[in-house]
Amino acid sequence: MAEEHGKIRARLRDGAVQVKAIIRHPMETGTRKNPTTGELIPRNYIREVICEHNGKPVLTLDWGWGISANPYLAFRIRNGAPGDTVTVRWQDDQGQQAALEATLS
Amino acid sequence: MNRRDLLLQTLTAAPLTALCAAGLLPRRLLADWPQAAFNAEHLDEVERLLFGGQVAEDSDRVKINAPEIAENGRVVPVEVSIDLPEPQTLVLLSDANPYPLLARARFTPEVEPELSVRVKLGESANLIALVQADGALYRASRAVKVTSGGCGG
Repeated sequence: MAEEHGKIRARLRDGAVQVKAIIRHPMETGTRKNPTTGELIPRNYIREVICEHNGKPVLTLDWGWGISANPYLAFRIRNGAPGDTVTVRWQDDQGQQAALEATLS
Repeated sequence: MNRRDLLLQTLTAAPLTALCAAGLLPRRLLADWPQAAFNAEHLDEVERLLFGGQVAEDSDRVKINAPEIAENGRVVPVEVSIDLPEPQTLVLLSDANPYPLLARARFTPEVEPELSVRVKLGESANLIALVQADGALYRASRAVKVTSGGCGG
């Protein structure tokens, strides 16, 4: 898992998979000013998030710039097993994409 | 290197157009982000754009957990849990944000109908959850007092 894109943890509990992720992204609203230059920092935010279990989408999210910076996300997959992979992938309004992946132990 | 490793590496480096051309992008990532709803400035307009004229009924089977008082409006933790059979869509809004729509989640039967996120609240607001389940629309809300606002500098 690449620290540069954030952190993800997926844990098996009673057969369900608790997934917690923190995605590294500034989620700029476009209304914040650079403290030194006084210039507006352009809007830049994650729009779409796809959560996958063993490569299959199980939860999809549409986000706006009202989601906090370095967004936290937690959800639960109903049935999991050791060896399963959980992936959180996203795309922002600039077309930048990245993903976080965890394997259940 | 297997295809997945290549895909993950490529996703983080390549521009969108190259990925499209290579056929590596999941189609979902190019789809239906609700632009008009995210840009709407009034709550009723957001609801109309997302749900037409459908009337929502208040339900205590949709629970919003959020702090009563948020000291940092830039990071307000919100948990929504839904005790309805097979909800499809959850929409989270703030009635006092300049753009009320915060997020939309679409569930498959593979996940529990619950979600935790963190949102920005510019000022004290009501968080509103709208849930579409089996063709019906349900609503819950929760007041959050904000002592230090979250949208601007």
